[in-house]
Amino acid sequence: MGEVMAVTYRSVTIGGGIQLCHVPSDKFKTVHMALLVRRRLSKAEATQTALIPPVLARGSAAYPTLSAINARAEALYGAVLDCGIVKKGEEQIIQFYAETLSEAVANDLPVDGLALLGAVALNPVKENGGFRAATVLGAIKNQRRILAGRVNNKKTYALERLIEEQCKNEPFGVSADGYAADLAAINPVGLYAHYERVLAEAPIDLIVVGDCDTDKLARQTERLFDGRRSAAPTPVAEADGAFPSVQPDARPRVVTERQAVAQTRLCLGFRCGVRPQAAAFYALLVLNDLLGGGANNRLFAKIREQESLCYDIGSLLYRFKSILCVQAGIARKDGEKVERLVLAELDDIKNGGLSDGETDRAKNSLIKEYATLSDDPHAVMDFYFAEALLREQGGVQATIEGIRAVSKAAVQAVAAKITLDTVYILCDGKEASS
Amino acid sequence: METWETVKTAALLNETLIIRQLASGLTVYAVPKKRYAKRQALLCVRYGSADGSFAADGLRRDTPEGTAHFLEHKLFEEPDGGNAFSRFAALGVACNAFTTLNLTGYGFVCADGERFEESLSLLLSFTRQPYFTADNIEKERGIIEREIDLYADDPRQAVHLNLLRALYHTHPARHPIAGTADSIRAVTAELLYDCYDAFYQPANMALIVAGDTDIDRVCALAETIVAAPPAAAPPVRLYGDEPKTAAQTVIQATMGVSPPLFQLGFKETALDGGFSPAKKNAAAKVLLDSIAGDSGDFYAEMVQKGLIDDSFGANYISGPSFGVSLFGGFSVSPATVRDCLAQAIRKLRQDGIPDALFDRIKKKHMGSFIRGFNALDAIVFGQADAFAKGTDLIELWKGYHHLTKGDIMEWLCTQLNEETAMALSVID
Repeated sequence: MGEVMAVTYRSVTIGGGIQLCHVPSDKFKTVHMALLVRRRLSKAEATQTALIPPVLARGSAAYPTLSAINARAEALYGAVLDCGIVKKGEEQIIQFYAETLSEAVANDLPVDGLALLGAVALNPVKENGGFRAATVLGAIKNQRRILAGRVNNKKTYALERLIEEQCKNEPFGVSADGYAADLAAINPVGLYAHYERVLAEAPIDLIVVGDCDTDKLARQTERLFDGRRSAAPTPVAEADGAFPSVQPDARPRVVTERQAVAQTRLCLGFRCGVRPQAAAFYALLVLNDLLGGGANNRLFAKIREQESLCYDIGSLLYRFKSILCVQAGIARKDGEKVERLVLAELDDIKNGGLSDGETDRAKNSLIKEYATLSDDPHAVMDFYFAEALLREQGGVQATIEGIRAVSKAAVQAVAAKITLDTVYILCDGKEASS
Repeated sequence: METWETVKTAALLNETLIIRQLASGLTVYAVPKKRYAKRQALLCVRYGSADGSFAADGLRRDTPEGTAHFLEHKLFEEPDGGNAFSRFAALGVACNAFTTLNLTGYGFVCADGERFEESLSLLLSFTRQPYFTADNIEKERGIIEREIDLYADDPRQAVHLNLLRALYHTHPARHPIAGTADSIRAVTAELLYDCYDAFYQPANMALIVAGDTDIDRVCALAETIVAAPPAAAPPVRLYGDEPKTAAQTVIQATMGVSPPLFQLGFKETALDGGFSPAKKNAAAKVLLDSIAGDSGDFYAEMVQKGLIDDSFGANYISGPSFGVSLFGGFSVSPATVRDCLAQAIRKLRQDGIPDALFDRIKKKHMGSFIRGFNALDAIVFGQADAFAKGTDLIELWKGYHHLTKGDIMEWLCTQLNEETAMALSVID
């Protein structure tokens, strides 16, 4: 194998209990920064938290309108400034992201990405003890449209609905974009109070990839957050029952939804029962790759190429919730057959049908992805984001070693624990032809 | 055929593009990225869904919609019943393909330096070995029908395809790339062989590589595997005589989308004296942002009136025989947005564009272009797009770098004809 590109990084807790992870690199033309403010997902809070990023993006003291902040970003050679929500496991994370040209590239116009982030995240325009009313109204209107528009992308909509149904009574089933029904109750003063509380209490991670000085970043971050943090930020604890077990012989729950669609979306939700930090997680990662996540996987080879039953089919793994989903776009009449074929592939793996070659190919493919992470600043950020959530500091090398240690028997063992507990079908409203 | 090499660089961009034409007519583009661990390769053919009608060997062919895309799917098939996907998987390499209006592409990303040449050999050889049979075509029909269904449920695909139908009377840009369930029933093995022979000639193709590659080795492999063809005249593409006007001004379809999704388009009319593809690309995109970008007055006014939101954006698409400037997003009243935009365009023609606005938008596009060079896939797909347009990445960069306000005013005064060449597509 080619040489592993080493990813060095510094991870340090700075003032205000903020965790800074800096991956120095002068390979890219850019510097990337993500400020992550983390809350436990809850139905009671989800909508308020989801509104914080669009409200802040539309009005900070230094850039009081969307035009002003966009004009500033354009003048900085098209700096990217994004405020949004990310869902990872049972956390709802407010993400402030800045991408700027590095000083080596834009030497006529040095850009301070952290100052830009701070200006937007920490200094909103205020009015009568709360956020500016017009800004909140604009953000609510936009959010209403986003929530109503979920249904337009059938593939992502079907996956979201699967999770909503599968995890009806768990935080993971809560929408990180909030709920339309909650929007009417949002007011500028209440929302501002929620924002201040979140800023004071939530665990915060700052991940930086690029050519900067770590100590300078640390000191600047401390200054920005001075006076905003409580003495002891609340850690986001794992909920009891985050990884519920499922009786292996229990019948899966089937949910069918009807819309005017040309193609049926079939989603199968499996519980895996593997904690994200467990050594067995790597075996699950390998299983997902060879089943439906990697190149020329079993589902692609069997259900698409051999049986011609679909164009898109695959599996994905929600690491922080230990849920594996298989999704496919199919003709309505083929639903039962495709489900049967998917389960047959899993059964084959459970019953020792894996070959050494198949396992090794999946392992090698995954190892190579991690070994070449350093080519993509976004992949680097995602990796250290996951490390922050796992409270781990093993780095890329530990992940590679974990995958390398996976045996065929371990993949078979983890497959044996996987149980289908929910099936979600999105199909047209006409009567089934079979 | 004549062989040559040129090495291009550009100030500020700090990147190199090596271009070599081989004896077979194949053009190789390489962007060295020495510190990257991955290597990426893409083989492109100037053949897409807009090339449905052509003349080869003196004979006119009118092929069913979706033929180029079907060919792309079937080229992976091998005589022993296997397919090239599995062979790439055995090498531990991810492979993919795509078809657009003007281009078909086959590529891979290799994270293992030792496997790059093997993967490249496979890429070059499987695309030289077409194998089409009635059976393997029949098998693929089911897969492509599922793909067509996937797009049929996507309002963004629908609003765009309808816009092209509204703008173009007969030009093949108005045909869906994957075809329809009916049109692909007419695809036969003989048809695919004829199209392959006409278009998959090395002189009509480019190999693009990015990463820490050895261009001499890459060219040596290409010279061995992609042989010089018998002297065949290139196919003559028949796009028809397209009037300058839009075919219809409004087109609407219902898919249960609320608020409605819209796309407003302006059909490009060829410039007398013509801008180069690179200058046109830069002028069109910078102009669109100057009119309706999210830092400007038009955008702010439309948001304030509740007519658009942050889904609103603009884009410019073009190929050898067509071009469209687009604006789109969700709106409670797309017709009102159209009328306001038409008014804003007229005003800009009259008053000109402020220097400060132009400078800022130009900087934004330059920055975005530079950032693209962080990623190998942005480089190879960017060069593929440039190849389809008859240019290259360095020329595209120069198009932005040397762009003047006079250029975009000249573009504005001859394009975006809201009287006769504009159409509105709405999905509600």
